[in-house]
Amino acid sequence: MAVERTAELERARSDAAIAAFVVEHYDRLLRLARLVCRDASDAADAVQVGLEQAWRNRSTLRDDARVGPWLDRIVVREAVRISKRRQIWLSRLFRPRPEITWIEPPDPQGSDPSTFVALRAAFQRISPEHRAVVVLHMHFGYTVAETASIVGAPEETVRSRLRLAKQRLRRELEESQP
Amino acid sequence: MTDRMRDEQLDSEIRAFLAWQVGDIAGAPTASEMAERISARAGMRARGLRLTPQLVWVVLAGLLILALIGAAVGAMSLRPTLLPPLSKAYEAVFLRLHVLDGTHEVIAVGVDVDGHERQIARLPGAWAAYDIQATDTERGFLAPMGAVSPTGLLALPMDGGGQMMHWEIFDLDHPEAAPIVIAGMEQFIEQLRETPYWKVDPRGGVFWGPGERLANLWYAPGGGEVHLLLSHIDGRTGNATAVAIPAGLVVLPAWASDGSGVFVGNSSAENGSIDVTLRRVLRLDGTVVDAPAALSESSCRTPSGFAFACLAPDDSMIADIIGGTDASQPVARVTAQGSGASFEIEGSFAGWLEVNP
Repeated sequence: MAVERTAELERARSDAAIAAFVVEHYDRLLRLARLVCRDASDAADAVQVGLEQAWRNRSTLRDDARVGPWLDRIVVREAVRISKRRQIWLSRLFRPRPEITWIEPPDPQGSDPSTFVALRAAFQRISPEHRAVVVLHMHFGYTVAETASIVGAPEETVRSRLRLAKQRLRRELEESQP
Repeated sequence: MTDRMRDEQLDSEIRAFLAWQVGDIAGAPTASEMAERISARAGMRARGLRLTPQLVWVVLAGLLILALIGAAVGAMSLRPTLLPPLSKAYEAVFLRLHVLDGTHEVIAVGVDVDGHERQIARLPGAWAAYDIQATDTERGFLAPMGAVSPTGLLALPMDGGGQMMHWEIFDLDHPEAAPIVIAGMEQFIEQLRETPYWKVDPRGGVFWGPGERLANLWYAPGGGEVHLLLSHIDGRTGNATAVAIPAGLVVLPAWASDGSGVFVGNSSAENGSIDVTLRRVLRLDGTVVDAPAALSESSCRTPSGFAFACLAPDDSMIADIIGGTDASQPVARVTAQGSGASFEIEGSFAGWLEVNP
């Protein structure tokens, strides 16, 4: 009985520690993954896998102050992986059929500003790697060097991805104007 | 306007868009739900690894008792009387595509709780041999997608030409018999679900229900547009009835246990959230009625702590997509709940097949 009680206590302590860890970081990581992935469901999957990896490997983190970028790196890479998998399935396998207009379930953002609608469409068409650097640099405020460290690419590659992504977004934005 | 001003304006628009888009997280689990998922998975590992010496003795004693019981049962089984099996067992069914010399066939493989594989059926010409380029360097044929019922009916999309797929139902007990063609249900191949790892998703998918009934949530093309429909199909005759999805409702992957319809959830137009509580049933005639969750029946229950996984009806195994996936060569993991052993299986997971133990 004492053994069971000790195990129960240890389990409860572990669950509480995991809950505190998740609650502290979940919201920011979910938003980060959401911007890289195409939808909230994929983003949640990326965060779940990322947080599990982080929890298992937390002893390898030497500087607690670096936990934010460390988690961002794990989740961004998972989000890119999931997003690429979905992109392979949805976009690369088949030739597009431009004559088809998809009727999706009700779009709660149907009345959004036209610039946002155009950017949303354009943002989904750039690669997950390009989305990741745009999001990390332009929304989360990481420098190019920090972004390079997070995505695991040379700084020059990150600059190139930023440049190409913005060129593509600009072109699609201009083409969407009446 | 100078180039620099244009750049700054674009940066400003992108930042405003990202700040707006980042709030669109409706449908994602809450932090508490995520913590529960991760605790469940972390707990499984921790409990498996951290055995105290006292616990080891308890486990050994338990194993000794089990061995004694096993020996007694074994001795009883030597008696000449034949007893009927106590209950059904299940196999995880995987589909593999073989392409050779311009012909192709789908092979259905069963995997038991010990990881043993057996060939259930070969289906020449089934599915389609779509040559795909998954990445710049990888090529392959698109892996088959289908759903198998516990009784051995396999619903499989078939190539109708021009990337249009229709559905046929094969009987895995009689693979040589002509399949049943489901009339009036054609969809673009790119609208098929990747595998039947069911989770609530506005894109269409197939799932079996009681009495060999099949539901398919699919996009019907017509007039340059496509429409989301739910079809109920009789698995033995192929007769299909399509109903439109009433506004504000989302089809959930669970049948009513009496086969009268499938459960639906609410989709909020205000914030895009989906309520997946099993409370109402969309019936075959298109009406929606209240029904308790206790009357639901799902061919795949997602075990706690998993994102893409399916629990066998007798809880003996979990089929889990974490083992790896690829559009042409998917790999899944089957884990035996009793022993904890897991096996990587090549092929597309298609469901659970009832077999005699």
